[in-house]
Amino acid sequence: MALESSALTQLRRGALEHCVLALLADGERYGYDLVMELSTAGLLASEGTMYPLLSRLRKDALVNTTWRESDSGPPRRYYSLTQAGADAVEAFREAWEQFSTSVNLILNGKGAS
Amino acid sequence: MMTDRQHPLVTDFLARLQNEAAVRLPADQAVELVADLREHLRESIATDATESDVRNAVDRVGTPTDLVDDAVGSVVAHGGSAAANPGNRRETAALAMLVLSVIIAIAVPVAGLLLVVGLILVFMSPRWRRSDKALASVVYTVLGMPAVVIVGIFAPMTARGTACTGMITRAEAPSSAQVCTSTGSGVPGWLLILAALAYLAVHTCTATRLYRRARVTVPT
Repeated sequence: MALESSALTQLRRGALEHCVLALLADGERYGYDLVMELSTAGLLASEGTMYPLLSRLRKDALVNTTWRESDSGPPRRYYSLTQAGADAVEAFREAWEQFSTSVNLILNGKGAS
Repeated sequence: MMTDRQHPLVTDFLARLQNEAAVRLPADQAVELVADLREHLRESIATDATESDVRNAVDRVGTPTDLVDDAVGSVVAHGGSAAANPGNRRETAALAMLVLSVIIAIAVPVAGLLLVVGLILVFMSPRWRRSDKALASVVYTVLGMPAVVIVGIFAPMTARGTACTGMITRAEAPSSAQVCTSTGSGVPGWLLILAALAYLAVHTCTATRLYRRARVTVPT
């Protein structure tokens, strides 16, 4: 529990959400591909955690889902960005740049001078 | 539709996920979560996957408890309804039974029943993790009611000059129901008090920890 409430976990959670949105900014994606991409990037503690997140993004109307037929097997669920989602990515991008610059300055000991 | 070629490990994982989700999530969300994971595992496990491939794929998605924790987290963070966050009455009852089983250990049949039912409830609970369940098992069996009873049987035999103040419920089997206080034995009194205090501390810490863990964490 202590770990779950740690700053790092919160940070990762907040960043992950916007990384998902940023990936979708390039165009709609199959849920599984999205998970694998973020997992390969080392952003996921476990692959499954993405699904509750995607479900929440959909409830918040930041993403849309559509079912598409696939050549093999049952229909697949695709995710795409809504306008609100696109706005959220842009807002996060700006905030993140500012935030990471400030943190880097402090961490590198250049904040005092 | 794909159930005919679903690996037993996948079936088992989905069943466990289903069970936990059903208890802790609103119905529609539980269904969606299980469907998502079913689809994910179908994609990540090739038709010619070996046993260890399957095991790997299942391990990579995380435990059902963690997944439901995440889903509960997002429900709570979004003003989730009370239904999504049911009370932890079952956990409280389980804990009360276990604690009581130690307190009334000398009433062996009742205490034993409380211990067994309490432990079953603990293992059925989706809120406690494996480590909590292990802790409960060890503390309430090895250090719990059976330990108290065994000490009750052997302490009078080893300690000389022991005064038994407890009630002897069955004359032919007094050992199971005696409370004895050592008066003139080789063990100094302060050591006994220290041991009793340590024992009490272990139980207090365990019960407190389990009680805290039984409450669903609300991420901020």
